[in-house]
Amino acid sequence: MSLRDRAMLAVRDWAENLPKRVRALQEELATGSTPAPRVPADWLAFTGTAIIALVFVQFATGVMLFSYYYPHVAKAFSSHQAIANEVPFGFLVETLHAMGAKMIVALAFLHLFLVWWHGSYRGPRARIWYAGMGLLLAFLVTGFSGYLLPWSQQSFWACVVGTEALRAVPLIGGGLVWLLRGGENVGQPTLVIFYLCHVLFLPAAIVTLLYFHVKWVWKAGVTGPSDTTARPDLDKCLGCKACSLACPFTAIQMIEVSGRKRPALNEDACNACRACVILCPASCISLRGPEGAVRNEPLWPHAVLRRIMASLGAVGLLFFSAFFLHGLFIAGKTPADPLLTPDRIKPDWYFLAPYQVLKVLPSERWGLAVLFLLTAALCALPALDPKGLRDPARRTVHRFLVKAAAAGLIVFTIWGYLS
Amino acid sequence: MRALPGKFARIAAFVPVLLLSLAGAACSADSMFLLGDACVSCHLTCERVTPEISVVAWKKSVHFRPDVTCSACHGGDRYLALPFKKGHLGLPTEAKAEASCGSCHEKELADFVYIRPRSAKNGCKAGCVSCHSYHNVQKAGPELVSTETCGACHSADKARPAIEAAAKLRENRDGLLALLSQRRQAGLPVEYYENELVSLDKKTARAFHASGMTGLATALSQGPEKEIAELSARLAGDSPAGFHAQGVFVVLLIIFALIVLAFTFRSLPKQGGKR
Repeated sequence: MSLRDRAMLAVRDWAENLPKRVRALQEELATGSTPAPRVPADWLAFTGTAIIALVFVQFATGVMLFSYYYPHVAKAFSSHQAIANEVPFGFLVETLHAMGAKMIVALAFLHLFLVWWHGSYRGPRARIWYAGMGLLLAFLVTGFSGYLLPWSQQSFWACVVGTEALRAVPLIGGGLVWLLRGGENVGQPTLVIFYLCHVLFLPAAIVTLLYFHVKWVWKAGVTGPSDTTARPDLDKCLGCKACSLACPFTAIQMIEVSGRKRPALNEDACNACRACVILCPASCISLRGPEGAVRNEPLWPHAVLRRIMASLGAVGLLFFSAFFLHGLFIAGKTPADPLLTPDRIKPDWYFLAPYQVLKVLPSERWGLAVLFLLTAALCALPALDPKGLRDPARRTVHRFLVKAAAAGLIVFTIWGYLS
Repeated sequence: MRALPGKFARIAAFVPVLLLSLAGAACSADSMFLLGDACVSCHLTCERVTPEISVVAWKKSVHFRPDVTCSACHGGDRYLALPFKKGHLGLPTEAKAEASCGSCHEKELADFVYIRPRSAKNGCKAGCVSCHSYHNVQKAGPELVSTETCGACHSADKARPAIEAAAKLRENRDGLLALLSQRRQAGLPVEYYENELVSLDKKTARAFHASGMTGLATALSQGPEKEIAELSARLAGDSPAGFHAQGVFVVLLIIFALIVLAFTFRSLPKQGGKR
């Protein structure tokens, strides 16, 4: 069978199975449930959905900008100015796109710290974490590539400094810089490379990672609050061992009670991942915390409505900042001049912390090594901390690490801005 | 003891440069380019009896920039004091002064030369410096048309329509600049309007150079005046207040949608799910 026939078959299968999948999704929406927020802070759990809404805004505004932007060093800045000045609603669309990028990264960091704080990256959720870290890095790189496109003084020199920093990478540094810039200096090839990455490769990577991230979240369900554990109702239990087999933390052991197999839970090992809750055929396992059973709510319409509200809130905030705060964050009103180095070269806000780390450490190589190790450690978190207690209230080192990382990010960002 | 006068002489030679640099720094940081200027170091004041002191007047002019120093009009070399035969013109004749103006302002001179025969019939001997002055060179614009400038050659009755048209143009242009300033302060893009204003100023200058005193009022009201009105109307419609009103509308719409969703949510039964 030729490749073409295989592809045709795959498409046909996909099309034939689509109604079935839609029906399954409808059924899952109609019957599924998820833990309801208990306190206002629990609404922060919807940052993920808000990010997806903002990504949609980015795609919509990006397509509009794509129609007018000209990726040529002689015309990029003027086309960027023409978009803002002459295209109807061009300034608004451009500002929404720029502010949206900043906001997505801010929400992605918030999302990361929340998940880290609640320890929701273990067991079946490890791959969600990996996809999420991939997404965060893709957002950062997309932001960096997009920052160059207006070809203003600020964006040009931020790109020069940003790419130059990679030269400190041992052995491959020079090659890496050459590859990114398409030559020795930042110029037309760099603009084309960044443009293609920004409008083609990185959006494709984001869509792919987002698809798997959401798919796996959907499959694993939303994790329960961090002070809760799964508790089986022994009267309803069938003794089928499904929970014991499903538990990725070996927190459930089957023990003999009155001649019948019954699940016994090690509460310290349970991560409230809901794997047992989802699989139990008798629906006898539920999440329970100090205040009793965790209140669940149906996926439809409750959880969906909450997510729509969170997304709308984020989009509202984006429009508010685009209309009223654009002057605070959008920089670079002079065209790039490779012969004139500006006094202050600053990256976008989310690179201020790494920028400051590179500045304060003795050499760029040290700085890069520290940044690489921190990022790698964060990416490999599920492997470094695979099981154990989950409740942050009982984990002193965990609490310190999360707070130190968040404080470090904030302090270095502000320091980088002020320096 | 003999070394002292020499030292004093060196210090004394340094004083004008120092004074000049201090004066320059006080006036503008850009004036540092004067430090190496050989003409300025000696001719800080003009030797002839003139209504204005040359360098002081030049520093107030639009020509006070590194690429338009004394040698641009008077010839010679900026860095070397050379004798007359090495290209220094001294006080240029009217024809040479016009030629040096035209070396940069080609179109303006061409326009002006085009109407000159008409004016000459009436005995007009006006040249570039008649309106723009020398040393303290003034930019072509409505502010240049005044009783003092025009009244030097023309009667008050003849000059009045042009002076009134120029005053109106200046008033409208100031209004346009105020709108533009508001827009700039609000952080909204102004490049389009700035470019339009530059092109408008060029058209205004053309109207001045290509019209005689009698036709100037008509040329201004039919050309730049009309365009300023159109640009002002467009700028007023595109004002920061309008932009912010759109923002308030969109944000209120989203808040309204959120309130509707919140009420919808409240009306839902607080039932638990299957699991």
